[in-house]
Amino acid sequence: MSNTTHYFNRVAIIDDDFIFRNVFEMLLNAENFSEKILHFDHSALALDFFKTNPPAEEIPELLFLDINMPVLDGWQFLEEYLELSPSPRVPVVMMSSSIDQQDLEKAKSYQDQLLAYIPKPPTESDLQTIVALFRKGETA
Amino acid sequence: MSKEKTTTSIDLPWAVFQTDATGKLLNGSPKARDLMQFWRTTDLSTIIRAIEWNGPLNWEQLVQKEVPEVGYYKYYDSKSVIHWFRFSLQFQNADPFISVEDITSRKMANDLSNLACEAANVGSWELDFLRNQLSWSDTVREIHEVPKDYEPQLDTAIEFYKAGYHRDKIREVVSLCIETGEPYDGELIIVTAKGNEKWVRAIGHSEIVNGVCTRMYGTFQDIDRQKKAEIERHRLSERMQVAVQSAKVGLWDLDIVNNVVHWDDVMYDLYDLKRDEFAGDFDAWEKTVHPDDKKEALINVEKAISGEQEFNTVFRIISGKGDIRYITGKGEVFRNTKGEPIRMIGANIDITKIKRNESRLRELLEITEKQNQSLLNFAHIVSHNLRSNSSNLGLLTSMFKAGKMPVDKAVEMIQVSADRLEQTITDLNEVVHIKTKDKHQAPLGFRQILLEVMEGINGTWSSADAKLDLNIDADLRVYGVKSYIESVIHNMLTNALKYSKTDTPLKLSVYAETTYEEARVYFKDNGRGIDLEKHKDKIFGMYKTFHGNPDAKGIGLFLSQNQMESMGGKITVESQPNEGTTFCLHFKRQA
Repeated sequence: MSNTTHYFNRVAIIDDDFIFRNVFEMLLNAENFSEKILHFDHSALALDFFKTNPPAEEIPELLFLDINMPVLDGWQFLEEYLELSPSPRVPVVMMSSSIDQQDLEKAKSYQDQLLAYIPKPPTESDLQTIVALFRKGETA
Repeated sequence: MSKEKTTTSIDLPWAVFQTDATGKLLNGSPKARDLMQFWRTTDLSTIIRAIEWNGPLNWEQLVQKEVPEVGYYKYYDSKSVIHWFRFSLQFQNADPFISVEDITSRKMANDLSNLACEAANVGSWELDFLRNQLSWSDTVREIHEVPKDYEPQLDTAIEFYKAGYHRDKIREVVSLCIETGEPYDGELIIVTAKGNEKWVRAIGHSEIVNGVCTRMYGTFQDIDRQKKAEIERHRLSERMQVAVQSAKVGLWDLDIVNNVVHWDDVMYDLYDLKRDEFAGDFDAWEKTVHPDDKKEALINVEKAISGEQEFNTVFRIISGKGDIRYITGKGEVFRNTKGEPIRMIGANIDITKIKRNESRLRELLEITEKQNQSLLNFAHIVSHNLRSNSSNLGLLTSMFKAGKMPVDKAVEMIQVSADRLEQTITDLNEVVHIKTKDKHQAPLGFRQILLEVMEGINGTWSSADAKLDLNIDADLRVYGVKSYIESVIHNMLTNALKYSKTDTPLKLSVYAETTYEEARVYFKDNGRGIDLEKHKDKIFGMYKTFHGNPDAKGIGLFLSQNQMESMGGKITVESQPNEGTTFCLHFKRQA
């Protein structure tokens, strides 16, 4: 990856685990993934953000969404987010340490709404895959 | 006496006629003349010809041979009423003398008794020891199934009784009757001339003159049908009783009018009461019924008595020993001709075992479900809490190795992840501890435990300006393990504090209600509440938090639930967001 230009202007991490958010941000920065990285320490805050109709330049281009969170888990967030029917809809990357079969099956059923499902911990090559999938989606 | 054949008067106080050989009246007493008037005749000979003599001879033959005889004359009066007269013929110097007696009333009584005897199959017999002669009535012959002209013999008559007990018995009582005059009345079997066995009732009396028995007489009755029916009924009822007793069916009989309840022996067994412990009225029964089932049981009895529905119900009772038994009861109401209920008869069966097995099965199913749920929880912990920390550690080390992370930052984060792993393992250990340790349970004073727990958290409690409204009687006892109850109470109090509203100080009311089996303690707060529609399945799950509260670990309620269940109780919740939450601890009141 290039050292000078970023792939994204703005991405958001929705995860209640501050350690993960911090380490993941470091990884993203090391790969020059995004100019700006937003943190939401739980999904209700992210949902509130979208509900306030933020200006287009503040809307992230990609969401990294954790599954296991208090109040609203990743799936519940996704449901409510889709119901808001934001335009344009931000692609979502689901991330989880879950090896629960139910979660994997649920991810499959949401295939059309998700850009990718990435098991934790994410790797550099995961990030490259995400970039590739994102570009493919843009040209389609 | 004069041979002159003229009509003269005989001075006797009863009816006497003197006639000639043709039956023409020669002489009569005043009563005899009255009779002639009653018969509305002046010619006695026409009446004499109408007499039915006992023997085979007619009037002419009797007179010719001068045979005394008795005969009967039937006369219909003007109103067609029958009158019976008994004629007794005697001879005096070859002249017929006839005394007449009105026997109408005697004859009627005799006829009726004969009829009654016939209807009841009662025959009579007489044994004349002077003439050594036994005579049987026609009915006695019929019972023995012998011809009408059969002449019984003294020595063979007794042979009709069935050999063995019956013949020995009749010999014994007849001998006793002859020797001492002691009458007998027995039910015995004879074998008839045609070889049929028959039950008879034999009654005998004796006449003893100067210590010698001169005559015996008695009745002989065919009681075969009644006796066989009685034996069959007895046999059936015995068999029924055996069936009823071995099936442990208790029978009861309620006299609705007089409020008297009669129980059979099995009922006393079923309810484990002694005879003097059951007062024998409706209230006494009602007292045995489990308080929680009383209302419905009484309604069912009422409905049966009013005729609305059959009495067929299951209820619990508290036995004399104090244990709970399941009873299925059926009953039938009996009414008088006006349709008013007068009596109710029914049966009770103890179905405790069946019920116990049923509920054991249900409990097993519940336990299995719960354990399944726990396993899922464990899987969840392994997949999330352990894995998320280990994946963090993996990411951290790979970043650190690649030189993409400063040392101090990496160490700090590795430390946090390690602490979290440690905490997770501690929590797991606590859960496993509840599941595997079978602690000793005892009845415990709830209020005392709560006050002790309260003392430990008084500081945080008062600094939050929280109020506790404690409404628990000092004598409320719950069945459980003290350390678990302490832990559950601690969790209830700290949770209430943790999830109180930011702008309103906590007010927590603690109160209790008891049923026969359960003590329920409620913790009702005015806090933030939980949206149970969304979180119902998760509220007691491990590592489930709902408020995004940084203190929330998602372990408290999970532990509380496990602790309550291991004490045979449970924990339930009701809540409205922004209005508050009520947790209810369900404790058993006894083992």
